[in-house]
Amino acid sequence: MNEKIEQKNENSSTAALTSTVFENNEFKTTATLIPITLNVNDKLYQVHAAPNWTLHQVLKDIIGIVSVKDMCLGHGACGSCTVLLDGRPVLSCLTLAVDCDGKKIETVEGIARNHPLIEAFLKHYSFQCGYCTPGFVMTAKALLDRKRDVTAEDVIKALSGNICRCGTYPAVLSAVLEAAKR
Amino acid sequence: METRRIGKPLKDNPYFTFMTWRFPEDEEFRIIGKPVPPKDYAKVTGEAVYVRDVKLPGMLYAKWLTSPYAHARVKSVDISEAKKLPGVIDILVYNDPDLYPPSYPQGLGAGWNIKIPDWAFVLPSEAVYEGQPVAVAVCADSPETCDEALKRVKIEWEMLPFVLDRDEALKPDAPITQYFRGQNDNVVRELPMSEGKTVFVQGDIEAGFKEADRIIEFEIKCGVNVTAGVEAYASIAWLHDDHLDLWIRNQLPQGMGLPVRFAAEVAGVPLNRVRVYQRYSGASFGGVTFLGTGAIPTILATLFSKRTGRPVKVLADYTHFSSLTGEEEGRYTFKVGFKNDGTVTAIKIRSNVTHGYAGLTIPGSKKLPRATAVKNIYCESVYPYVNKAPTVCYKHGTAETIPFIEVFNRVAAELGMDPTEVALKNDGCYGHPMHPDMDEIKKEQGFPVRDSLKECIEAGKRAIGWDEKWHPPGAKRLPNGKYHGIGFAWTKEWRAGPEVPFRHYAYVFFKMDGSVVIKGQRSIVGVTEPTTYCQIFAEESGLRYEDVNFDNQFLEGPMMTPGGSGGLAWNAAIMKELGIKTRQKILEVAAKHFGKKPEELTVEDSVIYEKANPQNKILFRDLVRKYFREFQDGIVGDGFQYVKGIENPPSPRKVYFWGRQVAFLEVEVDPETGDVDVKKLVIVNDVGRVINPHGVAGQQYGGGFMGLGRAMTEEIIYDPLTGVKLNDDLVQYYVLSMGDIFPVDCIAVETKLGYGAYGNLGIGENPNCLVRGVLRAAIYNAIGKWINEDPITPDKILKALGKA
Repeated sequence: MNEKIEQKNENSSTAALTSTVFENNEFKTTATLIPITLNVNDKLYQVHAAPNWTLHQVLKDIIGIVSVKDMCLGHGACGSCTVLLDGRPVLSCLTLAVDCDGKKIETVEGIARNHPLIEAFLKHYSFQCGYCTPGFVMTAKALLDRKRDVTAEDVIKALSGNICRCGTYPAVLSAVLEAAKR
Repeated sequence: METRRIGKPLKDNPYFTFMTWRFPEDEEFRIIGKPVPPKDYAKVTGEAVYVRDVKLPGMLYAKWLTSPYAHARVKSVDISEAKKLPGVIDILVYNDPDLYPPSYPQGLGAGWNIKIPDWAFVLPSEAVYEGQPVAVAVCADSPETCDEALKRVKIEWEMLPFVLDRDEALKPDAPITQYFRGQNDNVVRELPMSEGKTVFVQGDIEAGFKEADRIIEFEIKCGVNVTAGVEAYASIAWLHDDHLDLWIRNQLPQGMGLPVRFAAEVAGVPLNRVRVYQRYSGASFGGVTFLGTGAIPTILATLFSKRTGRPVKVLADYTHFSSLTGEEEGRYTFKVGFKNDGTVTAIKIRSNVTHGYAGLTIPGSKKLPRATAVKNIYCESVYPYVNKAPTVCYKHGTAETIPFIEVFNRVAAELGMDPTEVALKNDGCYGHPMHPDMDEIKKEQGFPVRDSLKECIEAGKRAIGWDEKWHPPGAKRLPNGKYHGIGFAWTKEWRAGPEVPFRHYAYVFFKMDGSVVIKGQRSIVGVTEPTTYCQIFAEESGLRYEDVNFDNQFLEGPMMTPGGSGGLAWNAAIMKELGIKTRQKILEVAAKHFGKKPEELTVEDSVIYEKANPQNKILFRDLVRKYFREFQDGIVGDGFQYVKGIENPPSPRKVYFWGRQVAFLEVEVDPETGDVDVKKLVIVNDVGRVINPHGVAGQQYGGGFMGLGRAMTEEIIYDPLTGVKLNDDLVQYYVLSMGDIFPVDCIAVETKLGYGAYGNLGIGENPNCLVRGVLRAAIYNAIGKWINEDPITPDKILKALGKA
């Protein structure tokens, strides 16, 4: 692991150090940002996050992880923002960043190009427009990290929270079943 | 001659098989038709950057206000509180002079080419549907600040009467849905695509009914479904250095979609100072981004960038989810005359359907005459404005395919005939039977004399087990208490030839290391378009697939837009031409090198050698290095000579419609709950020739899942009292997920009956459209009752069974 901690938004402008919270039926601007340390893909980042910022916001807007998508725009309904939090798949749009302090986060950028899942997704063309694909890959990785001897039904159940508007489900199933055997 | 099944299931996956049907003697290609590594692998590795992901130095954000009402007019706007919010940079209000550029071309906002005061749709003062971008847009240092500022905008609304039902909208005392159009009714009169006509007539409809042994009448209704679950709109504009840089989430930034032209006009820069970036783009399915409201974010971003001098990113909020509606919504009334042997003699369809893009086709007027032997057809349609979001095509064709499928399945049901027999009996083109009339024309035009529908049906029947499983309606109850049903549907191919008369272009450039880049402007939105293009080019040029790359950001090379449909037919022709020209060029230059004639040489896997003496060879890489000046200027291609026909004039030849597409579906229906359990979907498409098997299969199962979702679960529910949507997000609007997967057999039939390169056909639209009809047929076969209202939900099935 790279022990060097990257400071992200500590020296940002005042505007970036403020956050807006809803209190007493009105929005208030506050400057109470909390320093947290995130281990993202085996790299440590120190970030100042407001209590209401989601993990998705921090990963995307501050750290610069582009693979966490926002298909349902924060409703927690599509799975496209899925990341692994200490090995468990979570919807980063519904996870508060401050709750992830000190935890290990994996995104698809952290998976090696020759990982069986990546290779199998490419082999079976388990993507079309690709916008939901990182979420499928991460959810599948969580399953295979936990269990290698999977059936089709195991895969379907694990990925049932993921939506692909292009309808790539059969090819995703092929890829995950193949990756499980490698 | 017998068709032969080749190919194997791609994987030991109980939910998916793919196979092709091909003549044994058909030529084999080196790369075409073969599975190859995808060029757009970055989508899987997470490196693919979409417009919503892009960040630029000093970038600002902008968002618009959306109407909370179905119909309302802004009486006054107070932005004073919003302006005070730290981080707010600029605010645009509907009456800002900058929103009135000299001449927006028509067509922005409500759909394609509907004549309206277009400025009104960028930030109008009158909202005509809930969720419409309206009145105010805020530019700030973060998206959150934009949201907060919009909440602080005080608006005094004047609530206006609204109408949601299309029949109600046509009544004399109906509320006027769109006052700004200056009309006193809700009728859409401007229909340029159908030349202003709302009636299509072929033959003599009354004579057709007289000729009939029997006549049936029925009606189908379709609810509202929405685009749901694609990358939401986003655009970035940066006006600097006398150039306008645009990052656009748009399937067709140039040409028909027009955002580049709009933006240039707004920015006040000539088009030669506009640069467009759009490496990856979330799904578009045809019209989701390049029609109507898709241009608004680009215009707003450009305006804000011009006013602030900084890059500005416009982001749609969650209302984008339902900001566009599907084309099929409406009511279709049928009267069909037929003979006792299943021959249809007359079809009369009256429809009241969506406006916008779909309003530009009269349902039934295209597919029925072009793909049947029915001589007497009458189609009439009205398209009233209502207070719902505009319509677009996404996996287009449902409004045409619904009438097509229903006619023949109802006739088969009335006669107790096998619906595949009725289909074959009525198959044809322009009122002529497929045999022998079309056989002669196929020969004349140089096509193989093959029967697309017959081959598709044969392949599909075997896959679904039709001969063993088909039974009279309502006749098979399973041991689990459920009814077993099996259905069939058919239609013609998605167009026969490329559909636009103007040309498209792509270019090839050669690099010093022997690699080659194809450049053209088109979005990468679907089933790996770059891979397909590179396959064709590599096949024809003799270069290695891995040496070829496709760069989709070249505004000067506008390519056809759809990925797997008519666009592939045309773009495949462009790639074929580029490949052939490249091979010629290589051989000409190599001839100088070897001191031989070009015809004495050949190129294979990026090696050029003498045919008579294969040891006399040179690597393409070395040839380019040595003779770079010969290659430096690149090659341009428009594919025109390899497209056999253009559907719209000026066409080099009369275009007929021979390709057919079918679907079979097996279901179990629970009579206690009304639940439909999909046991197996078989999608059979005559694709002419497979270029990329994954590309074909992806369109097939992808359309299957989207189509069955739209037919079974997807419907926007409107509050009749307010006109507001009640299930306006992916939580409550049910799009099929991985958990709803069902077994799919995808079969590609290769007849070479298409007008595109290699005789290929577009299929991007058909699977989605077909499955709606096949679902209705399968449920009828299960319970013996027609469900005439879509989506087909359990409550409707229980009602049909007399249980609700």
